[in-house]
Amino acid sequence: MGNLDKSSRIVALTLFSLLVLGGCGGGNGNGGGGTPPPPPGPTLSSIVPSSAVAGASGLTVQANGTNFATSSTVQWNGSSLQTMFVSSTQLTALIPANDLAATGSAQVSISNHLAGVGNSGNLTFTIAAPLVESTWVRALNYIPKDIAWDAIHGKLLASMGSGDPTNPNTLLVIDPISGKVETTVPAGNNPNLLSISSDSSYLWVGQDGDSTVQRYTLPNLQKDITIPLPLDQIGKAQQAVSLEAARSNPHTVAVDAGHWGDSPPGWNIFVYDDSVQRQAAISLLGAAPLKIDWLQWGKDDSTIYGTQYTTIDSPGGVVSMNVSSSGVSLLPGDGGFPAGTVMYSYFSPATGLMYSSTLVADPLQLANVGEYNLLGDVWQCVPDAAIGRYYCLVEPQLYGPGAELWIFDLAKFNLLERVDLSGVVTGSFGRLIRWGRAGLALISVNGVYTGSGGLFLIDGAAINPNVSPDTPAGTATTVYPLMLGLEPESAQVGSSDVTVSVTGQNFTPDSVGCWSCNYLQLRTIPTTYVSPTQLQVTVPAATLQSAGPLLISIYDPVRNSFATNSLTFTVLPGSNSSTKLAAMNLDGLATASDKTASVLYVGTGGLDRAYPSHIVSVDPTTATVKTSVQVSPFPYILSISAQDQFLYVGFEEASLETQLALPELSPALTWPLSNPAFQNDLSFGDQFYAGDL
Amino acid sequence: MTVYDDQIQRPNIVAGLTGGNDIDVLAWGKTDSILMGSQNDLLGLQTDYLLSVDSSGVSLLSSGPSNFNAAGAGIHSDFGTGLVYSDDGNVADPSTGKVVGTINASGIVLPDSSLNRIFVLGQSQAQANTNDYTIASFDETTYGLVSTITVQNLLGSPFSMGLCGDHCLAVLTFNGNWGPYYGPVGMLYLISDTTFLSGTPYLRGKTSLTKGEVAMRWKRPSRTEVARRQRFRREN
Repeated sequence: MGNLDKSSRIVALTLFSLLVLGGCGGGNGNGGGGTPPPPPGPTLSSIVPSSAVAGASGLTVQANGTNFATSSTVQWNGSSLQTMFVSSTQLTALIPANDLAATGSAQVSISNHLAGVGNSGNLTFTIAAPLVESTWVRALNYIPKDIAWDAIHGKLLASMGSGDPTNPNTLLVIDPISGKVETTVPAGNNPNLLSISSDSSYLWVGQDGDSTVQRYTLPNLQKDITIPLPLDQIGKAQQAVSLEAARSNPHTVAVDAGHWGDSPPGWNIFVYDDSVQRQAAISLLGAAPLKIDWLQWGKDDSTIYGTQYTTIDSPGGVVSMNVSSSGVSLLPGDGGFPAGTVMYSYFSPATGLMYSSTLVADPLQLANVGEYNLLGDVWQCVPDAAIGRYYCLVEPQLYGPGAELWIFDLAKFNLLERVDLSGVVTGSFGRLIRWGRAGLALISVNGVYTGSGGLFLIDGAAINPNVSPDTPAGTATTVYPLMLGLEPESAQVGSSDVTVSVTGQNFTPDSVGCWSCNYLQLRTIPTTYVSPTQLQVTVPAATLQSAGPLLISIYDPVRNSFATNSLTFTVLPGSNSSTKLAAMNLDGLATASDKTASVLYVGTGGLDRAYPSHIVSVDPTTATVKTSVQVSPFPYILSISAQDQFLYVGFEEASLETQLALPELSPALTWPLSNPAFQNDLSFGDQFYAGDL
Repeated sequence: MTVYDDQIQRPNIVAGLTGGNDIDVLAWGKTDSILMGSQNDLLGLQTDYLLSVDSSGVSLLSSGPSNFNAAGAGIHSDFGTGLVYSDDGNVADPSTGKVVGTINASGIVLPDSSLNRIFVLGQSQAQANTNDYTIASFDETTYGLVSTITVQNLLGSPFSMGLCGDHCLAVLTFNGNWGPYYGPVGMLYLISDTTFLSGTPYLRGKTSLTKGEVAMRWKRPSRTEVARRQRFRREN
């Protein structure tokens, strides 16, 4: 009887709802001559696949959504496609080859006009360029001590030390397009460090065996003025251990003079105008504990930054130096914030930031502002602010052969590309520089475990995807695919085969999906190559028989390599429980709930491929991302204010705190964390990170 | 330990290690003038800190050995009750530092006065060394067990649990084996249940728990470890 009562109540409630709806429509709601309310309009939630390669033949796509009618048509930039009705939630349509001829995108929607209602919202269909082998590497049979790029004259310049077996004590002018040495000139005794003046009129060369800095005119390398370096504080001859032409004035150069055999090597810092030394210099012996081995000019000719890298047990840190017409002097008040541990660091005048392998620092705020998640063992890095990329050479195996080029977004710190250079690039890495439209040049020296050194020229789309390569010559490289997302990313236990769209980059027709795979066990699954950014894989019903994570990776049997990462397809427990589980591939570090906006904020780590170091707003009812915003690296503490007004963010890798206005996640305020008690303290670093909020 | 109003730092701070204080985690009390801090190192003596906040900043009222928080555990505010809840299962009044209650479970604790519940993510003895977990809910007033549910076959180790709406818990996991073959670095699990995650008395699962029956039986990485361990592993 109780059940009957309950059913009656439900029916009554339903009828009441119908009556109310009818009233709202203005009629009597009983079908007695009034206009029935229009059916609800269509919604479009996904297109599968959502991309194709330009030049593909006709393609059948599946449109998923709600409120589809038998008369519904799939619209392609406003024109109807040949459409087949499958159900109220699914249509299929044929995209003709003509519409896929050129790269670009199209807006796809659903029209229910014949049913008397309008269009759904639009989704974008991408027509991608086919992936071609587009980055090459060449090995030149030289082992320079240093290299520099003369952008004005389009040449690489290389110094060959006194021990070079074929070109000792020379400078080489190399045409990077042909890979040939065009000019060889004698360069005193043991030429080493190189630096080119801002207008490419001069090349400054540290000639270690002569204890001089020798200037040459460009482009012909005519010998110009000579700067004899003064003796050190105990009467020994010095060499240039760091040498940097001024940011603006082509006649000015900064020299850190000392001895390569010392640790640290820098003893004295001088600034020269042509061959005239400015009067004030810095003696590093009297400035302990500061040790400066590396110099970089700041944004202009009034500041030099310096750091030490050779002595791991000294405080280290970056110091700022003031440069005036009278010379160079230490600026008080810093020296404590950390720098990297490799030789070739950079200050970028475009970004105003310092780059030291993994770490990025703001020398004005004395704050670390980011980190590149560089996981190899030995690396050399160089930024290019014009392209917005950060390039690092990585030895993937400690004390072993192999080389990879890792390319990051300069501003966002996330990994963009990973290029395999194994088999071509050998030796232990030295200087890495940018050259040309899309080139990198690397010098390496002979290594016991790493093989023969050389000069290597890397060129192509991985360095700069926006231009054609300088020369498509050499050995084609492999760019590893990267997985960004799965759609859908879960299914109920016991489901039949599930078609999953895998989004990512650098997929090839050889790419094949794989579940719980490794090199010993390849469980490949049916895969359709859609485009370099999309694959379609079928997760077979046999793998969906028990709840739990199913690891999906992408394997390339031709190259015998896996994509950089893998993702989880979750087999959800049965629906008979009142407890519902949803799973998302998010590398979350912290969460905060916004009850006002009914969203969950997730701070993501730097290795989340789709949302690296973001605050992601998740709709918990649909387990979908609503919006996201990039923040400083590793937002690992979140705290939401009263009335859900602000989200406070603390970072594991930036000594900053950020306040975001909710729910838009609009950046409101970011400020450096500091402790007044430690300002200007050279014994302790003055870097502070949020421990809790 | 410092307090900011927007980006303006209040002048009075409490020095950390150089002042002999090791404050790793914080929780506010009932008002904006009460803070409680605690050490959450895995090693060493655990210390609780009672702090006072006013317009000039923060000052240390007292500190002493913790009878409230276990090594490596976190503490959590509940502005509704004004009390502080430790992952060890203890409830303290941050104005006095005294323990005012205990629940019979430990793990990852989440108080929610809007539901009058304390949720605890832990593992039973039978779940140890598996990817299955128990979530227990307790009455926030009486500290008595209300319900338990289980979630199974998660990828990675849970290290964070929070609310994600009126009937939803968000659990973050860290997958220490991430890489080309072993899945992503971590997962976000959303657990929704309109009866378990409600203020309505609804007994499900276990009817009673003894102390320690549901506990942290896996190695929970701290959020710092999660961030740092991502940086020191090679991807391939």
